[in-house]
Amino acid sequence: MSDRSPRDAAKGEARLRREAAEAADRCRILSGYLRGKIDQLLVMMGSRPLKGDTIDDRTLVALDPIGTISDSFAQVLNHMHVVNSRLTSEIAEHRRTGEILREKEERFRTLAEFSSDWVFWRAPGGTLLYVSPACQQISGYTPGEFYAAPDLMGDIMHPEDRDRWANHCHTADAQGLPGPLEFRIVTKEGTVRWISHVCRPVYAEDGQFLGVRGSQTNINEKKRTEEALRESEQNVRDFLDNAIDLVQSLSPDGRILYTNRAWRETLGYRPEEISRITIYDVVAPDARDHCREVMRRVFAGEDVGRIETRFVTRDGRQVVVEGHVNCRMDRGVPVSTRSIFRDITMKRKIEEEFRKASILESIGTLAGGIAHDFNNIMTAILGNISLAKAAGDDPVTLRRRLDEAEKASLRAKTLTGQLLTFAEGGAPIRQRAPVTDLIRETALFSLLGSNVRCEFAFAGDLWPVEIDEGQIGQVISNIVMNADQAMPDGGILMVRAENVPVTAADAIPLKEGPYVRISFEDQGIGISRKNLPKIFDPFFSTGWKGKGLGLPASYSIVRRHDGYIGVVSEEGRGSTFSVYLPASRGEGRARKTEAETSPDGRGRVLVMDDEDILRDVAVDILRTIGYEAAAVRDGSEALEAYRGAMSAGRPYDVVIMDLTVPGGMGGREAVRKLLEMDPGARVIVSSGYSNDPVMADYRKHGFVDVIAKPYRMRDLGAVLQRVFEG
Amino acid sequence: MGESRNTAGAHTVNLDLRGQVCPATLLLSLREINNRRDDLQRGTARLVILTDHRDATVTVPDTASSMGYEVSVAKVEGHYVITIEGAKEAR
Repeated sequence: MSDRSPRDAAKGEARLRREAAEAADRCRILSGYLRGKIDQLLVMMGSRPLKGDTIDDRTLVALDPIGTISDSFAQVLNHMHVVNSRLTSEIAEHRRTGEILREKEERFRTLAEFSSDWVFWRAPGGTLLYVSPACQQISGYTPGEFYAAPDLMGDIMHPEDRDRWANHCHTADAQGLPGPLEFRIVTKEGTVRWISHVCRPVYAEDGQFLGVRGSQTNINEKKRTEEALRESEQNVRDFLDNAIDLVQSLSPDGRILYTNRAWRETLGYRPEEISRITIYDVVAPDARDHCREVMRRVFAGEDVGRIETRFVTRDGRQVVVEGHVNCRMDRGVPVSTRSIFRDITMKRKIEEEFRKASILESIGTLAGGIAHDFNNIMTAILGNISLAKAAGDDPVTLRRRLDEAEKASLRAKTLTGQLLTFAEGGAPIRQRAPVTDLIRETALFSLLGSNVRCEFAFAGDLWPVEIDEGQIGQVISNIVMNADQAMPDGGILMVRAENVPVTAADAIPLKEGPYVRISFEDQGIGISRKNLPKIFDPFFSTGWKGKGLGLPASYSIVRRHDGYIGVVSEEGRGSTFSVYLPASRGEGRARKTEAETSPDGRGRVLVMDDEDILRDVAVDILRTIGYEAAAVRDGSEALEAYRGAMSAGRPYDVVIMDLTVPGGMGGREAVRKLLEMDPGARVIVSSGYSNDPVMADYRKHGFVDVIAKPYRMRDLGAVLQRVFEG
Repeated sequence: MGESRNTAGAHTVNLDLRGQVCPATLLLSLREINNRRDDLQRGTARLVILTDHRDATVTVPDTASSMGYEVSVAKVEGHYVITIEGAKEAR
């Protein structure tokens, strides 16, 4: 140091002082600068500036506010960066969501706005959130007009539909589920238009009610079509209701789907009753099976043609109807019948009256003819009796006259027998008999005085038949006389009798079994094809001598013998009548061949008859042929007489009872009482009503034998002989 | 200043700044946050500052929030408790 001069030292010190002062200045300036900047940062951060008097520079440096703040800012910036990038990605996400929403809305809008349906969304409170443009096409009002006036919908409602619309909206706005609605609006142009409306409530995901979404369609055309259809149906109904025929439609199970007015008025049902009844309540009970069958066939698609049936009215009257039924099919499935019937009750009544009148006319003709025939017969009888009386003691003449009178009486018997065949019943009194003799005798007798010759061909082993000889004799006689009349110029009548087993293959309306066939083949004029089916009809006659009763009577008799009579004929070439009679299987009682019974009867016979003449004749005949005879008037007298004879020790061997006694006890009742009194009593029934069922089935009623009135002495003798021998 | 561990595993750093005023309170709080930022942000630590300086209940939470921390302020018997922890979404 010694090397430095004082002057140099002073100079150095001054320099140092100067430099120190300058450094202190710079430090002060720097500190001020730093404090300013720190204050600036602190204020910016919301804090207070530094206070110079509380923090000296040294403390300030130790505190390092700039470092602290700088570090904090670094964190702030970092955080901002994080937040910023999060926001950026959120914004991008949001933008994407927005795009999707826009796209969806675009799609919805496209759907809504191009639809012909008028779609709307009404918020709770009535504000319209959306109305599709179709509203304008349907109502004439634009969506804008609807947005502007939410009540416009109610205002354009047709006055008659306003209440329904208000109720509907009330339900929908209360979150109910009202069904579809059809109503009319008045469009902006003033026309009325039908609208079909459906709606439902809309909810947010959280269940919040967002209002009502609705859709409305113009159904004016549909309504017009429906109206036209209704009108057309009404027209058809009016037509059907004005018809006088009965129109009905039935379901396959017989329920009544439709009836017209004439149907209901004829049958007495009210419209509301129709659904509760079926066709089977309407069809007459005995026609129900037929009705079921017709229904079955109709629903099977069959054409059943014309139907005649009977309906019963609600008050029980029967109505005869005729008509047609067909079936309505829907895609091959039968759905219902459609039928039109005509009430022909009156027509049938008139026809019945005509028929009766025609029968009466026929009966008149017949009665005239019979009266004529009877008069002829009576003339013959009376004439011969007169001649017999006048014959004096000449036994040959006497005998001849009485034979003639008897013959005439037999003709009268035949005539009454024919008439009785037509009476109800007429059951034949069948007995086993050799039919060949009957055929031969009857045919020859019927051709007496005729130029027709009869030839016979009988099978040798001919089966026996059980027949009512009188009735079958009539049949033979009728056919032979018919043949005689068919051959006015004479000819040959070929009569055959043979055994024929009838089978189903023969197509003859008979039960299968053994039959005796008697055929009569003439060479006559034949019967026309037109008349052939009618020859067995009563009162049909081609205008020959006969009264047209013969063949119908024959038909009736043969049927009652369980046989069949048929005819084959060709005009101009002749006819062949064939009579089939069932062969007898049982032993049956063979009837003795008739012979004039010799008066060799021995025994006591009681006759009961209410007719004085018949009583006297019977007693005379019985005495003539050797019996001891007495007569009474009715059943009571018969019982009394029988009892008296029994107590007297001289009982009657046989009683002959008349079947019917007007006003008194007849044979039917008397035989029962008599058998109670004497179970061994033998009673023969006698009646002029040979058609009475008792006559055919006399054994069932307690009689031992039967004799039809009128009878000849030999007839009565034969019966009595049979009974005495029996 | 003291530390303790809570049940969730994060330890609590207590910073008692009572008697200090701004800007010291703010600067001391920030320095502590800066020093412990990793623990705070991971959720392994949280900072509880006690102060009786009212201004600090605004400045400290404001700045800490800007830095991305979750901050809550409570007043307890004459002083305030400012709790600072890392944002949940960041952890």
